[in-house]
Amino acid sequence: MGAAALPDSTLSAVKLLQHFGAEIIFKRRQTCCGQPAFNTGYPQETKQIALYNIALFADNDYPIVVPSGSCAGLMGKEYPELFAHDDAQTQQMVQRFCARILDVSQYLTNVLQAKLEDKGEPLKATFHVSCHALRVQHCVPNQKALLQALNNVEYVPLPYEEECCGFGGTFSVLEPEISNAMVSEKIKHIQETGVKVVIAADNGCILNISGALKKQGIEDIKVYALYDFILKRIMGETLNG
Amino acid sequence: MEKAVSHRQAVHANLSNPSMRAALRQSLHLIWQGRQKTLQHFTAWEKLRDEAYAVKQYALEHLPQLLEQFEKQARKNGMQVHYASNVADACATVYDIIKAHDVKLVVKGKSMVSEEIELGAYLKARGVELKASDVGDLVVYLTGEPPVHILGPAMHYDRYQIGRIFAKHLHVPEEHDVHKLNAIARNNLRQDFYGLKLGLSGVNFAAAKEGALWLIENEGNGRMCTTAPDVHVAICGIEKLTASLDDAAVLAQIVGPSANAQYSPAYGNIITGPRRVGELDGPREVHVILLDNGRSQMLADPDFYAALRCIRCSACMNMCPVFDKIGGHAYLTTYPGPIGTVISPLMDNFIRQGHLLSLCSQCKRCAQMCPVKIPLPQLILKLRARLNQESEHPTVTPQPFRRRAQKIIFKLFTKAAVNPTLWHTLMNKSYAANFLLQLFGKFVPPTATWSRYRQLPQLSNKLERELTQLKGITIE
Repeated sequence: MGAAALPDSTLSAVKLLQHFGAEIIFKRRQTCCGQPAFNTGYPQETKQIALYNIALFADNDYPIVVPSGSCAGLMGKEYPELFAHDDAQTQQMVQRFCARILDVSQYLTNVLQAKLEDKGEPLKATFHVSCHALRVQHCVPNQKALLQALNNVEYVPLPYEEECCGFGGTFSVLEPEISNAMVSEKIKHIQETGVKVVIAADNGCILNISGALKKQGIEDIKVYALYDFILKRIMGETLNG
Repeated sequence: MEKAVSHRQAVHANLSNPSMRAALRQSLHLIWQGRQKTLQHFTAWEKLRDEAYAVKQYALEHLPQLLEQFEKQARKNGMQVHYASNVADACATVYDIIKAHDVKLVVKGKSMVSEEIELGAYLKARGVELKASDVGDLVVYLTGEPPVHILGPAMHYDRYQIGRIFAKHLHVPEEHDVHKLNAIARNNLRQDFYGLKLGLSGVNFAAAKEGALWLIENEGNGRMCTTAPDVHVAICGIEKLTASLDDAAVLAQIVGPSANAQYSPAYGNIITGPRRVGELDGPREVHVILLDNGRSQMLADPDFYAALRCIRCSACMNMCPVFDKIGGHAYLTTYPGPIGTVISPLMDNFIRQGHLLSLCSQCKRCAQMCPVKIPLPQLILKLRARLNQESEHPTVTPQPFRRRAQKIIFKLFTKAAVNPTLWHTLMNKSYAANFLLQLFGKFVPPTATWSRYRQLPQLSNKLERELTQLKGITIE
């Protein structure tokens, strides 16, 4: 779904991986990791989606690189919960799949050891931490390392970065008022930094924060997907926005 | 008890209370900052968490034996041990003791379990006043509200508001200096303690081996309640049992930093029985009421017994991005926050408390903070799944239409997610930009959709087209 709402983010991730030497196979038949069903309390349905994904990627054993921390977290760390009562053989199959899942930032830093050469103008940027990247996939250090490797970008920490921006999938639909209070608080913290460029690496958070900024008529702050941002910086392209 | 306000009304009312939100935000951010500083001094915090987990896990796995051992040892120590299987039992047991001593005033230390059994209202209806002695508890006692937070009952008020509440109810000059406010509370409470016949408390840890009760507190009021009067009644959830005082010491060590960033609570009171012959002070009777109220049912449930590890430290709600916006009152339960969201449906009527389950964005911060590693977000998902299953019985489910619609939508979603042709067709349709809105708009009121507070994203199907134009990529 992120591919449809933020296609550039995925496209940039692919280009970055290629740029630093990865050979990419893109599965045309891929759909969704199943997070909407998982978080709404439909484990049996999520399991069907998990089995679909596991079968889809079963023809090779290459790493599966995912451009969103929460999708990576679900597929790499949380799928096994769904199969807790299955037989050992199924659990092993799930574990083998899970072990292949990496967030793009983890692949770029740990595997490709990407050395970023920043060709962009000096600017200040702050970083929004996605809850699932932080607490499920544990890839926030990798994401921050990439941002901080850009020489002309002054990284300004976001106060209370550990606090959720209020997306939460179905949560934002079932509790729109609370979700709005959360994203408004996040925007307040962003404004307190005085920084106009927010980088985030999770499509849900990006859609939430940028959508709320637009709705609230705040035009001077822009949210960029981490991989779009990095690609533009190392290519020396300007940010559009 | 019939709920006067609905979930939606409660959420709305609390969200639109700016002074409450400011007070909560300030207190909880202070706790967060303090916690980070305090934990720097704990070099083996994760090891301590493992130990605390093991202590609680052992106690739960041996609960029947530990209860027997505690009862035997506590009786040997001169305590009177009672069992209460539900709210009515517990209230009646307390009231029997009160009647036997012909008491009209009971003063309590802060105790969530007394809130759980709604003891105040029960006793009031029988002409007995149950007064709070913790300062925050006194504030909400005066305003007639339930606690807003399990450890900070009046966390939603700032000192100016508390000054006005004291002035109005205690007929004192309006103050806003913290020390002066404390003095007002202290003077008021001293009068109650003077000549008090019966004091009530909860229990933090009940050590089976020694038959001892361990109570922790910060204000000294708890110790007054348990030592000044002739009779001390302690209400103890059965999950408070630990094998020994040594085991309880592990929990006493981890609870302070988890609760409010304190290295350790200011007071620890270990009670081993009533006043003994030749002793000059202490209560002449100590009663312990061991309360079940749904706990043994939780213990028998392999999916949820982990929630009984809770030591009521409040870390989960302190760090919850939903709790800090809406406060405890919006949950319409005794126990709010993530732990309340899990245990309320399990202890009370599952369907009636099902409304709580939407109060979680699955950020998973509570699980990261919980000192005894309760997987709260996972348990909330399991409860959501259970509630979704209950929609098989629409007559007993709140909002049956919405639940049925949600179920159909997720069946369709799953169908599409395992069928790439259908998936791509949906994503590529010209009206795809509204896909999310259409997806969800069906089962919530149209005004309450995602787009109310956010501009909807523009959906596009260009990804695959652009990917095919890249050199060196294999599309299969």
